[in-house]
Amino acid sequence: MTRARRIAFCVSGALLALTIAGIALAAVLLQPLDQEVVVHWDIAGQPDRWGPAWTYLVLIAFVGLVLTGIALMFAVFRMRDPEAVVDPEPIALAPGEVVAWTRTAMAAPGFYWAIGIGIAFTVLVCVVVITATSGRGWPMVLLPALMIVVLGLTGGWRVSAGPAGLTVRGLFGFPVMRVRIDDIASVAAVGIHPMRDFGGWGIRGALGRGGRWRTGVIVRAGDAIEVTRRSGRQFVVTVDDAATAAAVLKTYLTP
Amino acid sequence: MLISIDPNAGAVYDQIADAITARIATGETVQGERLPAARDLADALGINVHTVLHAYQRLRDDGLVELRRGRGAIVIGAAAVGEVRGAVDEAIRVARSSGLGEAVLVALVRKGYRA
Repeated sequence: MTRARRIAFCVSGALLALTIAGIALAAVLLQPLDQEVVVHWDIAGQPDRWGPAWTYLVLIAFVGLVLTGIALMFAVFRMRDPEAVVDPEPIALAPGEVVAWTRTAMAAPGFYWAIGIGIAFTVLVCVVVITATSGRGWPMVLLPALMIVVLGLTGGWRVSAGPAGLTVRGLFGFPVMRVRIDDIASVAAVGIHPMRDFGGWGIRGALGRGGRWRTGVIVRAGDAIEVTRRSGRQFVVTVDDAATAAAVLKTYLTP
Repeated sequence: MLISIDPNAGAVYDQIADAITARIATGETVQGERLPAARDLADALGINVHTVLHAYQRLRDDGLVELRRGRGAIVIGAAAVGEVRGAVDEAIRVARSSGLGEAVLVALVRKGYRA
């Protein structure tokens, strides 16, 4: 069992214990269990539905078991093995020749559709809440606004590699992340699994092999450029044709 | 997009425009494709963004791309390049077999085109 699966197993055990503890605590606090309690509030915060107290026990058990099940899935199912690390050959240059590479890193179209639907749903909820509270709920608009800003800033990246080093820019031109060429100790093209390697998507930090800090710009699974700085820290960006980019950078590495 | 230039062989913007023209001629860059943002190509080559914009303007003047604010540079002349390329290859073949150098061919093309 890999370390990640062991951790997932422990997490699922902890979640199960927490669920049982939660049920026990609720069972003690909500005595007698057949009394009528509030089980639903309207949007303005006024109770509008009542039910037996054990409804909450069922609710806690359901949520707890679903979360335990998800954690257990990560423990039971093996994730695919990492794709081979490509150690690229530097490009042979004619005297005076300069090579450079640039490409836009995007996720699969379905990813943007899913997020778009999520934002549309949030906007809908916002409209309902703000009308129901006759305007008092206006800070709700911050939620979809924040989602759109985060998607714009981290939903895709423009990656450039050349004699100056590696540059990664957001779709609007910022944020900008650079690794100067003389700060790069080595470069490779690697296969990345967002969940396994970074715990998700976006701008990420994680501990890699040997306890080295890895910063990741992750939009999808698969090919990625991995540069190791002279300090030992790594910078990873998922982008198609990563092997070519790595070869370009390798051409300009100084020993 | 992988691009290779030789800054010692002439103006850098000419080199960039030539490299992109070559990519269009070989089909690596196709009709309707959007060229990288000038900012990104400048980042990659480690040069000023205006140099890349200058190259894109030359490509526009040559009828190879269309420049639109906010949409970048779109390749529009790929088919034309494909057509002309056949004729140019033929001219090169004839020049080679008659032992004429590259400079003669370039001079003829320049003079003929401007006439």
